[in-house]
This record gives sequence, structure tokens and C-alpha cells, in this order.
Amino acid sequence: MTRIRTTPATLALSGVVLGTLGIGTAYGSAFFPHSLGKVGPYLMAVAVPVCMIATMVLGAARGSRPLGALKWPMLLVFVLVGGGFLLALLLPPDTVNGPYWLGLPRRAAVVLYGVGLLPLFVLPLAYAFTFDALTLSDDDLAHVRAARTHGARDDDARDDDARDDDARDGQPSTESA
Amino acid sequence: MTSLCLLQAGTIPANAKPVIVGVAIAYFVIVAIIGIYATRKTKSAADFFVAGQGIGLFTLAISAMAATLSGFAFIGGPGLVYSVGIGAVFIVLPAALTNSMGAWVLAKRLRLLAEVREMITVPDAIGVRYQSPTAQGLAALAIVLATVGYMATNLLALGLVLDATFELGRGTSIWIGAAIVLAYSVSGGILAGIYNDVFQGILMAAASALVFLFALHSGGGLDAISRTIMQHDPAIMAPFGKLTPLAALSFFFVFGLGALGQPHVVHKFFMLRDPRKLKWFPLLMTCALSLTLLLFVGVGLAMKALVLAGGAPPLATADDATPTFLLRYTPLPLAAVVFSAVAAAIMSTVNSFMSIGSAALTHDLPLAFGTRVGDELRWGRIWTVVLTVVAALIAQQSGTLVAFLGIFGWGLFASTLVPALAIGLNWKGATRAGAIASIATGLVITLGLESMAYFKLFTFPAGVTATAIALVLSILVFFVVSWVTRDTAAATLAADVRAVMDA
Repeated sequence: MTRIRTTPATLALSGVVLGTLGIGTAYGSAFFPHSLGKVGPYLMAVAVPVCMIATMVLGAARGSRPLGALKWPMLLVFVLVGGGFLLALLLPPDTVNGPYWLGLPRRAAVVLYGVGLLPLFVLPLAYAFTFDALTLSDDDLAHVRAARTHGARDDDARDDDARDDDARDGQPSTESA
Repeated sequence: MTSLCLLQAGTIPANAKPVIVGVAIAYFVIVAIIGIYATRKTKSAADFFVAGQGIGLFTLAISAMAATLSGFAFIGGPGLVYSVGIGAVFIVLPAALTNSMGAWVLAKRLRLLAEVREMITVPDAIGVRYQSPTAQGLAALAIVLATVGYMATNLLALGLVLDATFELGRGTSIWIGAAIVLAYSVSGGILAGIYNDVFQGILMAAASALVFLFALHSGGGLDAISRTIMQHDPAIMAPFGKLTPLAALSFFFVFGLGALGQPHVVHKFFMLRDPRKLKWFPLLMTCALSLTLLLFVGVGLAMKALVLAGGAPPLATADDATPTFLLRYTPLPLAAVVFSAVAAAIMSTVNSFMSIGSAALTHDLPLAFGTRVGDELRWGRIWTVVLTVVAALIAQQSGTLVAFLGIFGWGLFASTLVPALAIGLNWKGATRAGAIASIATGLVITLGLESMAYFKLFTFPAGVTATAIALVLSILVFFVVSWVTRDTAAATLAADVRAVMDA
């Protein structure tokens, strides 16, 4: 039996699939009677951040290499967004007498500051400070440019392959861009 | 995102007219000068469609921000906050994630693809990724359909702004607005659009930040605004406002993940001169976007508090929130600049759609049929005119139809492009069949469900939208079909594309 290695990318793919299934189920629950429909928002509150953070991890993951320092900001943002949504659903309604957090009723503050404002600072800074080591270094760029050189040499062969594929599919071929 | 109920003719008082008209004329003169400058620099199809792949980081970030936001951020959005409260903010809340997500998932991959292949359009990237003219053609078809709808919505909004300012009648104003954007787009292409986007983006961000400060000041600070609303209409300040939790969270999902499928924004990644400059892109774009969105939240809440406290008369429609606030609580020159900023936001979005729509018709669809047009620059200009005329004709129709097309456009972009492009460029297991099936699913489901909803053949439960369902289904179809055809995954990946995905 083949064993699938767990890498950030495979975990992320699982997250995207599970998150999407969760979101689909949450929408599906809205078609059912009220008691079942009440589950939908809670499922959505978890599934949406799972799906979005997993998509982000999928983009940040590079082969089998670990996420490195990026795992902490990703985790923090997942907690902020998912936790913020759940708190907004679970906290009791606010009253006119407060409490007010930085000028907003508590539950609105959780949403606006926790979900909307804090990740604004976390993710772009994490991206910038890990860019050279984890996203795109000069060496990475050189490798890609080397592939272009090879690609140019292999273009003719690739065009032939694409035309063969299209002929098999009964579809037209394109010339290489 | 576009408001259809923009400034209505007659809402601008006579004493404010000269300043507002004067600023609007000055604004259009600057746009024309930028257009003429860009036209002189447009020499090839690459200049016309991807700005000669020579723009810097600041230009990329500001133009992407300007293309992302349309008039909705200034008029429809604050109006929605005024009427449903915090729930409306879930439309812009994902901005905290989307720029960084876009940078990780798409920016690097698309820009690196442009290192190894000639990249002009987003469907080019799909075609190259899956070595499939069919996938490229289907993506182009979706883009053309969505572009016409989106452009019609934005041209109607631009017509309403011009009508309110110059009182020329709605129909005439739509044609004049279309002619202005067309004039600089058809001659200077995306280069003119990019330069104008930078000017327009700076204008939008600066005006929005200033108006936000006036909004806080007029309501006595955020604390006083909150307390006033809590006293009279507490549902507005509930975490999901007057929306159901599912509806608000659905906004977050659709506008969050769907942002990865907006070709008028993501195709700007091809244009960056140096891929390593992407390092600061999310920070710069997030700062610009956040500044510009301050008005969205601030004016809606401040105006609600002012009306509830009796400081301002009740609004005839929610979309009057921004115009009324500007004319009553900000200095007239600032109000005039914001009115111009609304036009700026719409025009920058329309220009971007013109570019991607004409590129799909000039470049991608012929490639899908195994041919290539001889002079892409000339045909690009011709298709830009044709698309604009079609969109302007549609914009003359009923507002409901145009609104339907706008919603259809966003949904179609998201459901057809997110799986094949955003996930496919990061997952080597994705297959050609998976991409084609998911794009086709997005097309059919979005068109089918949106049409059924438009003709009232079917009503979704609160919080469920056709766009959301189409997006979920197209992602799942992408995974299922790719898994079923997984044996073909390696064969659809060229060596240079593999190198891009490994980088």
C-alpha cells in the first residue's frame, strides 16, 4: 500500500477540500427546517477560515519543505478569524450600557478589530519578512530563468505533444506562446 | 461591486454645483493628459495588454487597489452599512486576508510564468498550465460574458454620477462616460489605465481617509456614534448587523476566496518589472485598500447615528448616505473631490475590464480555435470599442437587468477561475480534465442559478446565493475530476511550468 507523505501542501489540500465541503454543508443546512439550519452559521464560521487559510498555505508551501516561520502567523490568523466568528455567534447580545471596546460594542469590536484589523498587520509583514527565505530568492529566480532557456529549446517538441493531445481529444491545437 | 442607485440628479444643491462641476472638469482634464502621455508610449500589443511588463511595485499596488474598488465602495457600500449595519462590513472584511493570500497563491506564480512564457492574459496562464486550448478558450468565454455584464453595471453607475454633476440626462451621460474611458483606453490601452489608476487610486485613498476623519468628528467620535445607534437601533451594531449570520459569513467567503478569481486585478501581476519586488506588495496594497475602505464603514455608521439622533433628516434611500454626508458635513472642495473619486473608481474598473475583455477576444479565443490574429494591437483596439458599445447599450436598459449582470459577472469570475487558476497553479495533481470540468461547471451553474433567481423561478433561503453555490461546486468538481483523471496529471505539466510551480 502506498503511503502518502504529509507535507504542508497535502495538509493544505485536505484543508481546502474539507473547508469547501463544510461550506457546502452549511449552505445545504439552510434548506432544512429551522433547528438544522441553526448549525449552518457555526459550521460556516469554522469552514470559511479553514478553506481560506488552507488556500494561503497551499500558495506558501514549496514542495516537501516545511512552512518554517510562516506557520505561526498563519495559525494566528486562523485563530483570529475563526475565533472571532465563533465569539460573535456565542457572546450574549450587547446592551446600550456596554461594555464598549475601543468605541464599539463588544461583539462588533471582535469582528471589526479581531477579524478585520489585526490580520491586516500580521499577514503582509509575515510575507515581507519571510519573502527572501521562504517565497522567492535570487536563486529561485535563477532556476526559473534557467528553465526558460531549456523551455525554449524544448518548445518544438512540446508543440508536437500538444498537437498530438488535441488530436486525441478531438480539439484544436495552439501554437506555443 | 457597483451601486446602481448612485447620485440621483438633483441631489446636488445649486450653490455647490460650481465647485463640484469645476473639480470634475479639472479631473477629466488630468485623465485626458495622462491618456495622451500613455498613448505615445503604447507601441505594441504587449504595451496595450500588459503595460510592456515594465511597471514598478508602487504602481502595481495602487492600480490593483483602484481596479478592485468601484463606485460601490463610496456609495453603495456606505448605504448598505447605513441600512443593515455591521453585516455589510463582511463584504470588505476579507481585505485583511485577500492581498496576502493573492500574493502567496497567485502573484508569484503568475509573474514567474511570465518569465518562462509570453503571458498576456489570465487564460494564457490556464492554457499554459494545462497545455489546453480548450481550457484557455472556456476561461476566455467566461471572461467575455462576465466583462460585458460588469462593464454595463459600471457604465450605468458612471452615467448616474455624470448626470448628477452635469444634468445631461441618464442616457446621454452613459454614452459620454463610456466615450471618456474609451478615449484613453483605446489609444493608450492598459498603460493609460495603469497611469490613470495610480492618479485615481491616490485620489480615492486620500479623499476616503479625510472623509473618515470628518465622519468621526461629526458623530462625536466612534464611542458616541456606537452609543447613539445602540440606543435607537441596536441591531445595526450587532456583529452580523441586520443580516443573518449565514448571509454575513457568506459575504466573507464569496468576497474573500472569490477575490482570487478577479482577472482584472490578478492579470496586473504579469506587468511587474521585477518579480522580487513582490516582497512589499501585500503591505502596500493592504495599506492603500484599508485607507480607501475607511469611508465605507465610517460614513454609513456616522450617518446612521446623525439621523437617529435627529441631527440629519431621514434619508430617502440608503444610497443617499454618502452624498448627504458629504454635502452637509464636509468642506465643499472635499465633497467635490470625493464625487470625482467615485467617477475615478468606476473608470479605473471599467478600463481594466476593457483590457481583459478585448484581450480575451483578440488573443485567447482565436488561440482556442488554433489560430492567431495578425495584428493584436489593432484588433485589441477594435474589440475594446465593440465591447464598450455593447456594454453601453445594455446599460441603457432597466436597472434590475444591469444589476443582475453585475452580480452574474462577479460570480462567473469566481466560480470559473478560482479552482483552475488559483488552486491549479499550486497543485501539480490538477489535471486538464479537472480544469475544463470546473470552468464548465462554473459557467453553467452560475448562468443557470442566477437566471432562475432573476426570473423568480426559484428563491434561495436567506444567506444562500447562486455565486456561493457555483463557487463551492466548481471547486469540488475540480478536485473530484482531477482525482479521477489523476494518471494524466504529470503529462499536462511542461518542464518550465513545473519549475515555476516548484519555485
